[in-house]
Amino acid sequence: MNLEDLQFAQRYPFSGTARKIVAETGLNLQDVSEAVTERAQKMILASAKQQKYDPQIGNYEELLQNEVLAFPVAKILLSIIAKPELYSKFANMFSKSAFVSLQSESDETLCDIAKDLGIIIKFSGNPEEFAEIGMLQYLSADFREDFMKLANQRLEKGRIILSKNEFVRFLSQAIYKKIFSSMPADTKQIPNSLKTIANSLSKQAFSESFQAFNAKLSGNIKADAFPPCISELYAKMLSGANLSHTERFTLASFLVSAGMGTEQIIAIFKNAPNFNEKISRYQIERIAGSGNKTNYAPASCAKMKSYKLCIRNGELCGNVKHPMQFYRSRAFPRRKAQ
Amino acid sequence: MQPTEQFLRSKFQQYYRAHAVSAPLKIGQREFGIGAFGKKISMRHLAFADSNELNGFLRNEVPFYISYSCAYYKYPEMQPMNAKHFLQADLVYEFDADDLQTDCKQGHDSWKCVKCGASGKGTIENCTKCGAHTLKEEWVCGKCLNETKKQSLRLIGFLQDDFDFSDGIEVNYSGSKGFHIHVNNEKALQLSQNARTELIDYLSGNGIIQKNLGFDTESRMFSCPIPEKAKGWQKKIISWMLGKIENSDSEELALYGGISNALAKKLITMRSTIISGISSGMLYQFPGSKAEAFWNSLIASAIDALKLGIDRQTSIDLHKIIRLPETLHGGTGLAAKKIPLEKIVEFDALKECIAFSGDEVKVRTIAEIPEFELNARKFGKFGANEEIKIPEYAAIYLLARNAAQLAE
Repeated sequence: MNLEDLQFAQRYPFSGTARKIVAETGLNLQDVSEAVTERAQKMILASAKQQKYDPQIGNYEELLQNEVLAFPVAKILLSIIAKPELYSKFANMFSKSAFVSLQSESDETLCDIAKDLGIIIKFSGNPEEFAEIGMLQYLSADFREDFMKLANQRLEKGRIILSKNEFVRFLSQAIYKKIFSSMPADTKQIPNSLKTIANSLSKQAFSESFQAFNAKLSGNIKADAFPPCISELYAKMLSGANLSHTERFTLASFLVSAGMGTEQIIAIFKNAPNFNEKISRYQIERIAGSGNKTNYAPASCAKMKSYKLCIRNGELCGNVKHPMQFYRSRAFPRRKAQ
Repeated sequence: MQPTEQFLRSKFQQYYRAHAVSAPLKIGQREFGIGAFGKKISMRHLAFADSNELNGFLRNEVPFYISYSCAYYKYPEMQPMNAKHFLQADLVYEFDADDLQTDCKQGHDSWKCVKCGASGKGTIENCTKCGAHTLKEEWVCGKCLNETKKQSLRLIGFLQDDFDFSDGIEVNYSGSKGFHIHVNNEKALQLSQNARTELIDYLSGNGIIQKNLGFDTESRMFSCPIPEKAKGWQKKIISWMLGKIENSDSEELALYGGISNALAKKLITMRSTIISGISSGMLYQFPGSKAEAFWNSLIASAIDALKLGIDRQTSIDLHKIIRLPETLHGGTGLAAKKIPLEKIVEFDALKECIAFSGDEVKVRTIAEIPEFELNARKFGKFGANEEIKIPEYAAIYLLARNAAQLAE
C-alpha cells in the first residue's frame, strides 16, 4: 500500500481510495483491533462535542491505516446509537476538514474526488468558471446556506457555473450529504463487543452535551411555553440541524427578548453544525444590544409569515399578533380576579 | 336538494355524459378529491383504476368539483397520508388573479365589513371604518385573467430557459380565477421537497444576495457581472437595469433608484457613460454621496419587478390536490380547459371555456352583481333580487357562485 494513497484516504475517508484500502486490509467486524475502535470513538466524541479532530499522525503507515479503518467502524457505532443529530455532527466534522484539505488540492484531484462522489462536471481551467454542473445534481447536495441558494448561482438551461471556491464549497457540502445519508448502516450482524462500546459512547456523546444545557436553561426561560414557530426552531437547533440565517436570527432575537443571556444562547447555538463562536457571539451580542449597539426586536407574527416560518398559519396560537405575546401569556399566566 | 343545486347537477351530468375527460398520467397512482355545491373539497382519498372508472364516476356521481393529487402513491386511497406510500410528484405551480393587484378590481370587486356593515369597492382585509374583518366579493374579468396569464408565461420562460424543463409542460385554466402549470417530466418528478423549495425561491427571487451575484457596491470600485457572461438572476437584473437606464424618463429613474428628480435628470445626461460602464462590468460611481444607495435601490427594484408572485406553500406541498383538467369548476360552471403552449397568448378563458348552451334561463339575483363578461358578451350590472333572463352558461355561472337562484 503506498503512503500517498494512505494519506489521501485519511484526508478523505469516505473516498473510493479509502474503501479500497479497507477492503484490502480485510476489516472484519467480529475482530476489530482495539487501536481502531479507540480511534473510532475519538472521532465520534470529537464530532459530538464539536471539537477539532486532528489526529497528528504524520507518515506512520500503521497509524494512518487505523484512521482509515476507524471511519467505517465509527459509522457502525453511530448506527447502533441511532441518533440522527450525531450523524449530522459526524458528517459535518469530516465535511469541514475535507473543505480545508480540498483548498490545496490540484485541479485533477478535485476532479477525481468529484467523480468519486458521483458528481458529473465539465471542467475548465479558468478559476472563475471552474466547473459546470447540472442543476439537479447541485440541488441534491441539500445545502442550507443562503449564498449557496440556486437564486445566487449562475444558472442557465439547467446548468450552473461554479468558480473554484464555489466548487470546493459545493464538494464539501456533497461530502456532508454522502456521509450523513450513509447512516444508519445495517447493524444486524454486529458483534456484541461493538454494541457495548456504542452504548457507553452514547452516554458520553449524547446525553452529556444535551442535558448539560437543558439544565442551564432552567432559569427564567420556559421552553415549553414557546409558540409553535419558535419551538420548532429551538428543537431544530438543539438537534443539530443546520438552520438558515433568517431562522437563526429569528430564534436568537426571540431568546434575547425572552430574557435569555448571551452565554446561554451561545450554548444553544453551539449545536449548529457550522458553529463559529466568534461570529455567533458577535451577532448575538448585536441582537442583544450590548456594547452600545442597536437592539433587534423579535419578529412579529406577520413577519414570521413573510419569512415562511409561521406554523400552520397561526391556527395553533389563538389570537396573537406576536410570538412574544404567546410566550408571555403562557409562561406567566395572570391570575384571574376572584 | 334545492332546485338550484338540482338544476346545476343535472346540467353538469349532461356535460359529463357528452364529454369524456382524459385521465391524468398513471391515474391508478393518484389520489382524488371531490367537492359539493359551495364546497371545493368534501371528500378525499378516492382512487380510480382507469379512465373508464373515472368517467363513469363523473357521469353517475356528478361531483361539483374534482381534484387529483400531484403525487403518485402506491396506495392512493389509503388513510392517513403516510399509509399511501408516496412515490414521487409532478411539479405544479398555480397563479391566481386574486394574488395580483390590478386596477380592474376596483370595478368588479367589493367588500363589506362583518361588524359595522360599511362597504366599498376593491378588496381590503380590514374595514376602513372600524378595522374589523371584511367579507370580500371577488369577480374576474378578461383583464385580471390576462395579467395572470402573463405571469404564467413568465413562469414558463423560467422553466424552459433557467431550469431546462422543456418537456412535459402543460397548462390549464383552473375554471375560475387562475392558471395551473404542470411539469410532467422525469427530472421534475425526482425533485425532493428541499429542491422544490429552492426552485420556488429562485422563481420568487427569495434569498438573493446581491454581492454573491457579483453586484458589489461595498468595495471602493463598484462592479457588476459582465453582461455577455451573466447568467441566471445576474442576467435578468442586468438586462432590466440596462433597459431602465436606456429608456426611463427622469421620474421613473428617480423612483427605481430612490433618488431626487434633479439627480435622475443629471444621470440621464450621462446615460452612455453609465451603459458603457456596465458593459465592462462597472457600476458608474457618479460624484456625490448617492451612488451606492442608487445602485442598491435599482438592483432591488429589478428583483422586485422580475420575481414571480407564486404561493410558496402550495407549490412545495407534495400532497396537495389540484383541479383535474377538462372538468367543470363548481363555482363557475366553466371548464378547466387544457391550453396548448403555442395558444396561450391568444387564449381567452371567458370565451373558450364556456361549457353550456346559449338557451335562455330565468334566474333571480340574490345580491347586487357587477358587470361581468362571458362568451364575449357583457352582462349586468344587476340589482339585488332582480329577475333576469340570460343564456344558460351565464345563468349557471351566477347560480354556481351563489349570486342568483333559479326563478320560479
